[in-house]
Amino acid sequence: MANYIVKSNLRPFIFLTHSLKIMRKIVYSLALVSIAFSSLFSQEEDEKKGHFSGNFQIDAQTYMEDTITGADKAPEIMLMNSYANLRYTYGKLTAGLRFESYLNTLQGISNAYDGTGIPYKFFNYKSDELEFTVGNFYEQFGSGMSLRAYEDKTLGIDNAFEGVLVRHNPHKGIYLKGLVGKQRLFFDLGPGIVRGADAEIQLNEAFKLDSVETQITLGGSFVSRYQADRNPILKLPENVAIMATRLSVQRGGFSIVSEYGYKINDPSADNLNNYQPGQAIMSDISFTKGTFGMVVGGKWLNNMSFRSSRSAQNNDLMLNYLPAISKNHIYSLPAMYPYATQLNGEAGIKAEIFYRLKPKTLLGGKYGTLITLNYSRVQTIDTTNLPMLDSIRPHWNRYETSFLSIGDERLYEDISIDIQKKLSKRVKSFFSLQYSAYNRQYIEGKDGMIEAFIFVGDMTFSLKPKHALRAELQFLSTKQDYGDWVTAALEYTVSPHWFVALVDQYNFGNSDSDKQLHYYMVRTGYTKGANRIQIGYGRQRQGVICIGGVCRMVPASTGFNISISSTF
Amino acid sequence: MKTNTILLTILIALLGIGFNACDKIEGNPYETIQDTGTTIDGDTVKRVLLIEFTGHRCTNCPQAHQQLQILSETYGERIIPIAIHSGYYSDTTTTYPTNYTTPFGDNLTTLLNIDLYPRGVVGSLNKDAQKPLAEWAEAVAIEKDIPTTMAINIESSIENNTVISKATITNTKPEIALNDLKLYAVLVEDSVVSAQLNNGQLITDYVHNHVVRHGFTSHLGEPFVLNSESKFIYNFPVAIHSSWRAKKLSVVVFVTSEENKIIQAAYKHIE
Repeated sequence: MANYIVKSNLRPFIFLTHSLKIMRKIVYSLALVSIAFSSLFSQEEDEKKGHFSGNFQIDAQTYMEDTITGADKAPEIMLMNSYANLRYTYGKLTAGLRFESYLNTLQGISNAYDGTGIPYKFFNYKSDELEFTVGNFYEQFGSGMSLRAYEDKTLGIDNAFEGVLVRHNPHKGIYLKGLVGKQRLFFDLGPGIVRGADAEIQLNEAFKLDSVETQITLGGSFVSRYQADRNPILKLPENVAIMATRLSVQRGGFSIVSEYGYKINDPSADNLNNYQPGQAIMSDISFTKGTFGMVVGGKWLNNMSFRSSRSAQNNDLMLNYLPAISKNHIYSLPAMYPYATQLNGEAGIKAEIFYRLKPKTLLGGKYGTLITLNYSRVQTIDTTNLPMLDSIRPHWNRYETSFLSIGDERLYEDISIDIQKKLSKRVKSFFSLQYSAYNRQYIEGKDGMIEAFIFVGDMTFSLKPKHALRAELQFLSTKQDYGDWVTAALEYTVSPHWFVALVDQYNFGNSDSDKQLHYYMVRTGYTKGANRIQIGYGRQRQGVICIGGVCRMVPASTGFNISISSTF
Repeated sequence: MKTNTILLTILIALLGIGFNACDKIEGNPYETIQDTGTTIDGDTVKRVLLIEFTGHRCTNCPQAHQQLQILSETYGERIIPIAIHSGYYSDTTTTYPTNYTTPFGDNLTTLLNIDLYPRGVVGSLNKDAQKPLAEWAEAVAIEKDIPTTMAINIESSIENNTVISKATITNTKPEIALNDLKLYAVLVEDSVVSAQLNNGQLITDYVHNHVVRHGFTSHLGEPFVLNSESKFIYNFPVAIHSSWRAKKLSVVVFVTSEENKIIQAAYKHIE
């Protein structure tokens, strides 16, 4: 892989020349693969027509100095992230690769990506019973508690494996997986070797109980990481394992999904060389009947960070995934204080109830109304510090805790009510009220507890066929941090091709009058078929974005941006 | 189908072998080694500089201070720690009123792109030399075994409330060329008592050590060439600030060579 890497700070026109060379390599490689496929497997008459598919994306932004917001100018003026996936399928065989280019990386995503290369390439064979992949692949065992390799370009996460993956279906309802590999670390690989296996049995399928209404699925996984011990002052475990077992029961509209995981001693940068084993349990119970539905869930974990390098931090080399129990917010102000799972320990609960009031009723109105209530709360776990071994050596287990214990400190709380209602044939509305409390002191080590009340109103008006206007108003009130905010947005859409949007976020409640700023943005986009282009200009406030409970800091910025995407 | 089952059985067996190597560390994992080397001043025993980036509002930083103490106990004078307080976690508030930041520290923090705390820099003044706490011990162990031909001798005294220091840099093997040399010198203070956040708890009388109080050179160092005797002499005075305690002050000098590699360091407590 290293052969393809070109670390560079070159200007875009130089990049284009270089990109052409790399693209030439890609085309040659794929051509060779396609020729090889054609000659080797031409006997498969019914499947001999291979085909290419793929997608392309480019996101570029200029960064100008903005003394008002504190946004920095980029020395390169413009930064760009881009990638293209190419895939060739021929019968049971698939080969593909992804070209990536970060010249240089957009702010907010690690600049360790700077450069271009082909970090993802694979060859896959899939028959009815056996599937294998050599090269790069993503994989998830169960909910991801023991293993999840995935990518999220928005967060700058890509922890794909490079190695071998085998999936086997020896009997109906029985699914086995095994993998060995190393994880991607920017344009390189992490130091740890990962071995993993997962088994899942769908009892109804396996024992031909298709007529039984209750569907039961059992699963178990085991993942082990090897990393050499070169630490002169600590005896470190070179092979660290995590194991998880899961259960899913479904009957009609009722379901239970639960997973329990256990990790042996794994001293690391995340837990400051804590040797005690980790444990986690996550359970969700859901019920739906007619227009009513509810989900209640709980999560408890202690010391469950697991990476393929014990010294990795941030979003690097994560091997497992424990999603946040809090609600995922779509609008910008409710998402201003997002919560990410505290991998060293937390205990949380959540509940969501939704009910659709029927149309043509007193409360439901002519078109019906959807009401959703959501609550989540996360606490620390209860711990007792163990005494120091001497004046400088902490106890190797750091503290004691008991399974499912709950500590006194509130880490996060969120309660909201959402109402979604179609007011007339041409008007749709959404309203939300929310209270959230975010313990920034505990999580980020600063600013105490932030409590906020938030309102969101969103109306869409169908003005005439294919023409719609969406108006959005958000308000956040807090006595902490930067004080009160209001966001107003207008978006005009001419389906299916055009849209134009104006957004202004105003920090009118900032205690420093010089920082009562407008963060404005204007955007327009054009879509035709599978191709889309969007351009914009404006200010971006400093903040945190989280997806699935994994977060990254976004610095303040001012400038133009352009995004082009295409699938084929 | 049969072939597939055999293949998978083999794979599972291989994985089983791998999983059996699951290392459970029983009891105390601390190693009891000592590798303090000689303590003769000005010789060419390699001394490893560990630049710690820290802050009094950084809740995990005291864990790093403990790690430094363990490393100092293990390697004695072969390790020279200096603590740079910088970044958000070093901002002063009513609870944390002491300002430990310096232009030298702030500029070095920017140069090395330090954005996580605690962080340690070992071996070179490059961005990729920054290490999380979990890698400090390994980095020091590797670095101390890299030989050097450079000797640094520091003389330091106090006259008229001014620290007067002189560093003599010698290449003990002139036949080995040393290029692109730069000298860095800082003043550090030990046993400074003030507030520190520690694992979520405020410690009002925390003892801060190796605190960089002043940079005699800029964060980019002082370029120099060795004379015909393969020596370079650098004099650097500074008036003692009212908040510094003279008895707790020391001078640290280190030298980088090509690619900003730190090839030697020295420490001198001011008598």
